[in-house]
Amino acid sequence: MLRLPSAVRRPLWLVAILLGITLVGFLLLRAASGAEMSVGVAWYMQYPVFLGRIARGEFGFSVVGDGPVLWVVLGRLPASLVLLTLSLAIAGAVSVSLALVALRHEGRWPDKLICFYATLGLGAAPFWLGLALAILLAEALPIFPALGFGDGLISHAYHFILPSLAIALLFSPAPILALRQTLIRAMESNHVTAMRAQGLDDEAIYRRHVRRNALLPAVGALRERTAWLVGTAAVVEATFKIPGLGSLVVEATLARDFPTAVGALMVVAVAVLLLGQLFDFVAGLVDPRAGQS
Amino acid sequence: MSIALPQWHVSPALRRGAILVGIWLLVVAGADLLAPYDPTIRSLKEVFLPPSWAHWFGTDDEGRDVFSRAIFAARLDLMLAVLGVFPPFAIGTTLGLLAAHGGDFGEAILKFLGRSVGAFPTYLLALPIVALAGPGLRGFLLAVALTGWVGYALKVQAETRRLMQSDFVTAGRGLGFGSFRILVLHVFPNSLLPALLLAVSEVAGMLLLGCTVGYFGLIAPSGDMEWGAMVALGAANLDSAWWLALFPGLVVLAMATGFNLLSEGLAERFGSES
Repeated sequence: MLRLPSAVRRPLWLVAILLGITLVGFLLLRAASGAEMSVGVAWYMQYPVFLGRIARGEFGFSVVGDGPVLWVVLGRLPASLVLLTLSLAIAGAVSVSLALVALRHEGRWPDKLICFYATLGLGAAPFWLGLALAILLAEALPIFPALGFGDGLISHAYHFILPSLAIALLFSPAPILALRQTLIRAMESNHVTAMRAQGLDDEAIYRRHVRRNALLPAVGALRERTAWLVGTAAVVEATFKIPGLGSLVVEATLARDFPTAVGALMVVAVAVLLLGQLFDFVAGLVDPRAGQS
Repeated sequence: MSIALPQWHVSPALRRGAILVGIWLLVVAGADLLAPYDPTIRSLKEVFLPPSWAHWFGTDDEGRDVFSRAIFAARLDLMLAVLGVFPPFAIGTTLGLLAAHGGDFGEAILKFLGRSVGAFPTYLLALPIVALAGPGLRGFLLAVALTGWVGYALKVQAETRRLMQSDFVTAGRGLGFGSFRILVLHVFPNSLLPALLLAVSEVAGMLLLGCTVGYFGLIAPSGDMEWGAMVALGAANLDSAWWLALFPGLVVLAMATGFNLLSEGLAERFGSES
């Protein structure tokens, strides 16, 4: 079969998946509104008509947000983006440092503790972990404000700490386990043994030769669960009642305002797609071979 | 002649997971015996009591014992977790096989559908589907059927195409078997194991998904006992009654960790490198 070069294939796939996302959105809205979605339009023309409206930015009227869906959704985007960026940064720092600690103390109690944390973290419910943190750090020890968003920039920032911490705790188990596994394997590999024989100490070997190779599986662990990352962040955001896209989907669904819910969902899906591209790009920076598949 | 029997080496993860899941099965079966109180009895004199020896997990806004409710809720939540795995498994495996049968074209179609649906976070996409289909177990099963098949389909498709290159398929072709017969009778049984291991690894995820949908009030709107809904009641009373949110979530953690360990142990045991 004809194989197009990847420089052509990748953008084509992006466009195809963007269309696919609108198709899913169309089917959802059709299920929600039945045949009355576009009166007087033959069934095979309904999707093209829907696509045409989206291209013009007409997503319908949002009852929940009291305005055009597009404006309501875009207004909710910044809070979600800030929360996701913060959480990814914290999760990245936490996973890399904990995996390192585990590597240094492999088989001893710090390693066991970190593995225990990571195993447990995989089973924590996203709607609950934030609440548990709030109980601990907002109610028992009143350090942080509990649920809500606050007023003004400084208060907003203050209200972001606890949820982004919760999201980072939910993100980090998988990359920690993946990183730890590869780091341990890498330190046992032949080229590391050869370097040891040449008299290099573990610290230098790690810094110069192992660290770079180990970053790829960490990015990979995040890359293959991009949609899960965004969904988890959205659920935590909704439990903390931060006005982002996740809480918008929840509010709109419960109010049966499906045009808003579906509009927000489609924007979330596009964000997942773009985040995936970003992870691919980072993976390509770490290891040029990663971008070729 | 001696036959090499498979060595039943039980890893710590497998043992711990099996024990935890076993405990949960006992809890579900013996809820009536284990619960110290009737979980539905209201008592206006005992509302919002903090945890004590009489009420380990405290009492809720209607004076009901949270520990007893958490025990009975295990029934519905275990059903969400275990039943939730079947529809995506069946649909995903079938689509994966069909796509593999369709060659490069089938692969492209599957990639298009899978990546389009897969771009939507399941936690969010499930909500409007359940709301439209009607809250409850059936709506949840429909939602996971529509959203959860992607992983299975991609795995089965890749595995099947890999197996199509192997010698026993060539041998089957040499014997004159049709490609559909080879696919269903020879290749499918061999690509089933990765799909089954994926299904086991999805149980904990299904539990978390079910509880999340329940947290937003779409599993048990009529007030059936469900852990997510119990945590939601706690979230509404976070300032006054912290135990309402804390304990049901810990219980979810205990069940999810059981299934995660079981899955990890089984994956080690039956050797899946991917």
